[in-house]
Amino acid sequence: MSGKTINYKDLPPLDISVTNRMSKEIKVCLWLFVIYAFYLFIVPILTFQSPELMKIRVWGGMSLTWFMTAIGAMIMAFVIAAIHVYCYTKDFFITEITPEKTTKGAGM
Amino acid sequence: MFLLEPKYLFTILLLATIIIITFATQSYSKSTVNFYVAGRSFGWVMNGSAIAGDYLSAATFLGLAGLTFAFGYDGIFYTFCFSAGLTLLTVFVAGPLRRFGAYTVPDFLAQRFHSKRARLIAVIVVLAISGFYAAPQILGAAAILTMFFGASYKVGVIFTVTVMVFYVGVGGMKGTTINQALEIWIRFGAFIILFAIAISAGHSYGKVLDTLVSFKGAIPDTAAIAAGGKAVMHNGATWEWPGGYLFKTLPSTISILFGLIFGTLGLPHILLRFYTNPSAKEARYSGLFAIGIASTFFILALYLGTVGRAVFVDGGLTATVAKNFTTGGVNMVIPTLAEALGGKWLLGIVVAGAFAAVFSNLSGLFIASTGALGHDVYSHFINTNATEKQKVSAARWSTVICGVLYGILGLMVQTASIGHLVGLAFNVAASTFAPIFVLGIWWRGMTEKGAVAGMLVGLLSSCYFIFLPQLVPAAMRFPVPGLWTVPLGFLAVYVVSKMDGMVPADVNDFMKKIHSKEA
Repeated sequence: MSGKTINYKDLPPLDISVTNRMSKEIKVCLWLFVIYAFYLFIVPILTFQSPELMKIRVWGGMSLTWFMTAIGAMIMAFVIAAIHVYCYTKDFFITEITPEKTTKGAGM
Repeated sequence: MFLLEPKYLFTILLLATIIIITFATQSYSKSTVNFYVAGRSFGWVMNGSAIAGDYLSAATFLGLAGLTFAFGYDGIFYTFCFSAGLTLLTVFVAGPLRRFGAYTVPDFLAQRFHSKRARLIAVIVVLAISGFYAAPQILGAAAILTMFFGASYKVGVIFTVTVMVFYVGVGGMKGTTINQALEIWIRFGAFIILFAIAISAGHSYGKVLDTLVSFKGAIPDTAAIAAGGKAVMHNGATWEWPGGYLFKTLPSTISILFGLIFGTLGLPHILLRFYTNPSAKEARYSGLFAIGIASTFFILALYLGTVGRAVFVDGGLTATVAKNFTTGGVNMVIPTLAEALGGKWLLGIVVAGAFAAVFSNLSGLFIASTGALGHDVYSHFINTNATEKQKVSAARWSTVICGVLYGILGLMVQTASIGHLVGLAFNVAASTFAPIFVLGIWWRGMTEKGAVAGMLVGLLSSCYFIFLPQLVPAAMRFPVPGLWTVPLGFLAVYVVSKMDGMVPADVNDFMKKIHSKEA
């Protein structure tokens, strides 16, 4: 690898198979992130904004907010990672290469 | 004979196992690839266990239960945030990072941008994060030695650091990983036994929470023990709900969320574990396996912290247990609960589990810091023509230097909360390395100047908010300042890269290497 630099605008397009793979993988990653982030942020937001809802007892003495924070979050962490690994191992990120497609500005 | 007491017996057994594994693997640490990444030979079960061992430190084993015990919902919210980090790491970073293949975290930056400057600043960041993280681990071990073995705090620090220097300096990554993988199961076993005993004693989650929520007033037997003769008070409504102690507002709650969920993406000792897998697929499986262990562990830690509070509030404890609950601060709840529920045998198992937690996590931090000093500084700045023997020797001397540095830090944090200090380490990692790795892996437009700016802005802003809170407007002052520092880190990388525009000429080769399908 050389130590030279090049202006980003003059950078040659990225190999199409890599571009396809990257864009498909990042789409899946971002979707999973959005779903997960929704869960992570909705718990404190609802706890502060809708305390009546989050104080509902769901299991013994456990309130909804306690359940979502102390148990639901751990289940969610595993499920999101498991979906990603499943997609990866099933070659979900591989797409057919279509040579005529342009890759200008690809690779995010 | 006092050595036959369970707490001594189990601790000696743990130390003997560490010594045997370390010597047995000594021969594997005679080259740099073996010392730093164990020849990239670990499968997902071993490495997943080691990642969990690295991640579930004293902060988890002692700190999270302690925070729950002391602060109720505000305490469990720490765990909520910690639980997300490994998932994001597995989704965004693990696979590409392994395909890149290197020895240390600064290696990634140096080779991505061919920059010695980026490597040097990354070394400083690694040492800063590891220092923030190591100090509370040493505090955890020294506190156990003080409370249950009668040692002074200083002796506890020296003992812990000595074990670590031996463990990492002699065993390298191979010995460290096997020890970590074993140690996670020791402390997992300790938690399961404690959980089973708590359940069989009738402490169901629902019943325990009912007791705690309905109680308001002075906790029995604490007036005679607590400093100043004032009884410890418990208010169930405040304890069960956010804002009672730490996170008074929604922004301060969101701030810790930012700091901790992105923190794992930048923890050097976790990131480099993915270098030890033979492939990216194994790296992702390792991450998933670690998340499974960690998630179960977190649920148990929170339950046990809650049970600890209920046992404390119920009263009727022996004098020693009541004293340890009252004066042990937020860090000694698990061993005290073990003593309360299972006597000296359960205490012995839990104490060994606590040492396992400290040693496992500290060894990961030592490996990361040793790599930063021995590999990144010595081999790339001091002696660029070093022989293999000189490099390994430098790695071993770096372990000693790290031991001295972290020992001094450990002495400085005697009265701090383990869980909170680790939260601050996460915040520094989230504001420095997290933007670098996420953008460096997924965005070709990131430049060397952008990376350097991101690390400096993230590090300096974190230090400013943590060490100079008096200079921060009250409305912006949070226990963990991630809401400000994490976006600042990402923004600095993006804005400076856009303004600079000069990317490495071989960035396409780099992207191809880390994103291509494996053979």
